This record gives sequence, C-alpha cells and structure tokens, in this order.
Amino acid sequence: MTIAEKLEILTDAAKYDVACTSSGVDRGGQKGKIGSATAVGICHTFAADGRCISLLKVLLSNACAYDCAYCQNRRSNDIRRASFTPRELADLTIGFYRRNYIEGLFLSSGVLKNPDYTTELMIEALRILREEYGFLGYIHAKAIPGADPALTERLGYLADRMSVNIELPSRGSLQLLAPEKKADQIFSPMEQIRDGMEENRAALVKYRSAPKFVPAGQSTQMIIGASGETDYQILNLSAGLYKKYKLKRVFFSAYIPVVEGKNLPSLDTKPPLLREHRLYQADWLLRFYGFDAGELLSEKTPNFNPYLDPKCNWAVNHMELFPLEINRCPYEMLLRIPGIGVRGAGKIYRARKMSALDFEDLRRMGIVLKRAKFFITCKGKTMPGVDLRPQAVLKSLVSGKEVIPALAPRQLSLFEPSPEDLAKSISGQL
Amino acid sequence: MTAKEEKDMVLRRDIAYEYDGSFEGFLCCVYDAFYRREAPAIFAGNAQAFLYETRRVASDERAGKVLDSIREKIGREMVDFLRLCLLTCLPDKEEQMLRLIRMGYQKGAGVLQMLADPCVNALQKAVFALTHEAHQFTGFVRFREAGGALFAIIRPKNQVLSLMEPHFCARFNAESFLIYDKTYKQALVHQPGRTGIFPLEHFELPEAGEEERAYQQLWRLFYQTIEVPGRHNERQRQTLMPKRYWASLTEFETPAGAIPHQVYRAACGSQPPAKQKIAGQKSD
Repeated sequence: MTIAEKLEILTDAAKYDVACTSSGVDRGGQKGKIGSATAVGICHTFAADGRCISLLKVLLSNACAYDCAYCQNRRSNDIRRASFTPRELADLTIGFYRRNYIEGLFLSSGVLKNPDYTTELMIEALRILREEYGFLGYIHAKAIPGADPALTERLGYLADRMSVNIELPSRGSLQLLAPEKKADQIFSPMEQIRDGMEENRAALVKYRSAPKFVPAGQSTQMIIGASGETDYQILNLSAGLYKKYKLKRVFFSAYIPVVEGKNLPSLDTKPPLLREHRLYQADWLLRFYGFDAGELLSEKTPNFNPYLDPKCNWAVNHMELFPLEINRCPYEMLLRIPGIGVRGAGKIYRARKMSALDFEDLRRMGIVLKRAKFFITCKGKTMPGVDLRPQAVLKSLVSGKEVIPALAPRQLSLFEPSPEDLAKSISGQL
Repeated sequence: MTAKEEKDMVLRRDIAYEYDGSFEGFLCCVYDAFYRREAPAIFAGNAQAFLYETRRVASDERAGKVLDSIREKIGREMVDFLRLCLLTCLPDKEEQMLRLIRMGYQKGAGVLQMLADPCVNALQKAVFALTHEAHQFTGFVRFREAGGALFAIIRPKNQVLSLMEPHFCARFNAESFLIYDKTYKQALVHQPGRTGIFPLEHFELPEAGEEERAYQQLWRLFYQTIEVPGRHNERQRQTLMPKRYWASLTEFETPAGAIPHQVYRAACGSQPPAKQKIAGQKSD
C-alpha cells in the first residue's frame, strides 16, 4: 500500500474528531532543531467545511479491535484498513511541517491488537519526531483508554496536549452504544493526566529544566445528537469536566451518521449543527463571560432556543437588569450585553476612560449595535429610533437570519413554531 | 486660549513633503512640520506632487531628537505604535500619524486609548489589520523545497515581512529559506545564523522536483479528504480564509498549477478564471 493510500484512509478515519487546535503552549525555536509553538495557535488553512486545519490529523491505524456502534472504524464495518509505521508517520509530519502546511501532528488511533500495543506504536512515532528530528512543533496525542498508565505517562512527556474522548454525554448512552468502552476506563486516564500535570507543575517550580508533561493541557469531546441527553445535561457535564479534570477544552461534535445501527438515529439524519453551535456559544459564555450553566438553562427549560443565541436568551429573560449605561457599568456587565464580545468590552472599557462615549463612537470603534442597541444607553440616552417595547425587541432579535440556512439544514414544518410564535412564547415569560 | 496662541496654532496646509519611506525619514518630516508650523501632505518615495509646493525632506540626525522627544513626552508605546503604523497600507498614514503625535503632546500616553477619536481609530484599525495579516501569513505561507532550501511567495496588503521574521527564523532556524513579498518587492532571507530583509525586483519560485511534487500531492489529498461533507460550509471557509490568499496555497493548485475545477466551482459557484490568472503569478 502506498503512503498516499494510507494517508487517504487514515485521514478519512480521523476527520470526525473535532479538535484541531494548536494552542496552549509557547515554545521558541532552538538552534539546530526544527519547530516552535505559539500559545494562540496558528491555523494553516481551512477545509471546505469551514473548519480550521492546523495539525496533520490522522489515525495511526484504523484496524480497530473494538466494535462501537456509532464509529465507522468499528470491527464489524466492512471498510479498507491501513496502518502507518511510526517512521512513515514521522517522515510525513516533517515533510509537511517544513513546507509550513501544518503546525504539528494530531495523532489518534483505533485499537490495534490491544491498547498497550497501540500506545507503544504512538510513542515510537513521537519519539522519532522529538528525538531524531529534534521536532519542537505541536503534538496532540489521544490517550488510548485501557492502556498501561506508565505508557500513557510516557506519551504525555512527548505530547503537548492529550485528550481522552468521553464520546457520549452519559454512562447510559455509552453502555448502549460503546459497550466495550467503560466509563471508568475513560475517566482514569483523564485523572492520571490531571494529576501528572499537577505533579509536573510542582517539579517545574524546583527544577526549571524538568521535562514538561502535557504542557498545553488536556481536552475531550462528546458526540451530540446520537443519544437522548438534553442541552442542560450536556452543559452541566461539561462544566463539571472543566472543574473536576481541569480541562482546557470540551469539544462537541454534531453526530453525523456513518454507520447503521439499531440504537442509532437513521442514516438520513441531518447533523444537528445548530444545536452544536448553541452549545459552543454557551461553552464560551461559561469560560470567558463569567456565566454559570444554571443561568443559561434549567430543569424547566432544558434546551437552547434555536432562534436566540444563549446570551440573548438570558438577557431577554433578565430585562430588569437593562438598559446598562455604557459609560459606567462594570466590565463584568459589559460582557453580558448581547452583541458585545470580549474584544468589544475591552475596547469600550479602555476608551471610556478617556472620554464619554456615544452611539456614533461605538459604531466607529466597530461595536456591532444590531443586538446591543436594545440593552444599552449612552450618556443616559437610548439610541434614537429604537423601539424598546418587549414585542418589538423580540421581533428584531428573533430575525430569521440568526438561523443560518447552512447551520439549520432542516425542512420547515407546519407544526413547528414560527419565529413570531416563538417571540410570543418568550415574551410571555417577561 | 489667547488670541496669540490661537494664531500660533494655525498651520500651513498647502504643502507636500517627500521622504524616503523610512521611519527616520518620517521623523524628520515630523521635525519640519513642527518647526515650520505646517500640516503637510506627506508622500513616501518619489510620489508625484499634486498642486502643492513639494519639499524634499532628508533623513538625518533630526530623527533622533524627535524620537527622544516622543519617547519622553508621550511614551515608549507611542514609538512602537508609530513604527507599526508605517508598515500599514493606510493611504494617508503619515498625515494621520502626524495628527496623532500632535494629540499625543497634548494628552500624553493615554492618547492611544482614545479609540473613539477618528484619527486614533483609523490608525488602530490599520495596525490591527497589519498584525492580523502577519499572523495569518504565519499559517498561509507555503514553502517549496529546492536544493535543500525553502522558497515562498506572498502578496500581502501590508508590509508584513518584518513582523513575520521572528516567527519563521525561530521555527526554521536550521534551514535556509526565502520569503518573497511580491507587493512590496522585498525578500526575507534566512540562513543558519544570518537573517535580513532585502529589496528584490523580481523573483520566481524554482521548478518543483520529484519529491517536492510528491509532498504537494499528499498535501492536496489530505486537504480534500479532511472535509466532512455533511458539514460543507463555503461561506465560513471564505470568511476565515479570504480568496486573496488562495492563489499561493498549494492545496488549491493542480500539478499543472491551476485550482482544480471542482474545488473552484464549489467555492464560487462559477467557472474558474483563465489559467494564467491563478497559476501563482497573478499581480493584484
């Protein structure tokens, strides 16, 4: 089998993994070595699905010993199988890296023979890169659940980021769809990586030159829409994961049916892209905007509103806090204004120290007022011509444009609420 | 403000300065503008003068005096910011910079935070565009290997080479490489231990050898395979990676040097342009 064929098969098998970030670690170049890493991460190109490509994302092997129902690489699926040798993989990575195609390597694998054997092959590939080629670029490695902790540790010293996919948002779903993966098998490497990082931090305080263990932190991903969890359950789970395992990122992956199974949505199911989008928006609110999961959703309203982004939704339900005076309100509240992001809030915060701002100033600074105008005053005045009656506000916020056709590939149904109906139902809560 | 002060503030506007485009040259323009009470239109290089009287401003030791003064009265950040401003493609950057310096002498270091001011705003935006473009090029540069060395051509809007230099020199410090900026006709050249940016009138990529072509093919294969078809989203791709970058990206070339038809059609819903326009020699 040629390298090209292997690359095609093993890229195809890896592409449903979401994470492709190269962020979280700063490492300058060294004399005579190749590579560096920057904490912000670098996107090298974007695929036709609009996703960033920053790492060579491949599996080491798709000849998997497991038979997880949702996975296209499951044992019982009749597909072409291939495996890279560690050296082929290292050579390919360096060849791409020198041409500046990529920022590094994202290495995952199906379970070849058994978890230990697979991990040993991965370690060998990374060892060739780091030791023989002197490669200082970014490496993201998947921990293989069930592997010997000593092997996982060795992998962690060679990689920048590690991840263990929890795959499905509950134990029940995991039991149903991936019976060979045990929840404990997934959480124990997560715990190991977390503890390893903490020990490593202590060691680095004593010896600056101590080898670094997973310096860019760990992440995980879960599939959305293959099983019946609500957004509220998913968001609570991810908030818990951030807290308990000190994760850098939790990724969501809209379920795309690639195999048929009795416990799975049918093959013509469209991926729930809008739902995934809403979860990411909420995830951002938790990590950068100071929101709690409980503020966005509750037992009573367990799912996100398809017509309003989570921040807007929160704001229209807390109209008593608005309007906010842009020149006086605290930074934390600037962040809570719909339509104003972290960058915008920072700009306003800096600029208003020099002079009081009006709407024209905001517009010039590039603050988008489309949504914000309903929630703010400048020098005590609302924006001229803005209708602040709840009905009018909702009607403008719930514009059909928010539901981008590409993000909501579904047919209109007679029985689904129209945006206007929805506006009514939300305004009922006011 | 007294009547006398007001009279002093009146600046002569119907005059143009011509300078060599360097930071030192610009500082000398600042010197002249202040001492002659002028608010000139400033041109780099040998631009054509308009209706105005044109004065040629030489680069000399006045630059150091202006630099010290700005550093002392406005602050070090202002100096760094002005250096960046000069690399942007803002058409009237020198006049805006001069305006900013005048404001800086009145308001101090805080002037850079006055984002609502049209002048500060225009320059901050231009500098953001510059640093953003430089960051994007750290990803969008594509090297071609020939004889062990690496070569790339970029067509930036702003003068990004000096901002890209630390990144690429650290990353590929043991390699020899050349990045040619076709817009500003200059090249970043690096060999182990030596680096510099030089003016260069013309540069063509060397012919790709067998190994080079093999890697290009593998990369295109990877690029085409990694897309999840169920999530196709052309708009997002173009937002994040505007079309102007595409001409020099290996993933959009065919071995003959053109963007594959199906990729291009998917991208813009129309016929691909004539072959020579996308062969990598397009001059925008």
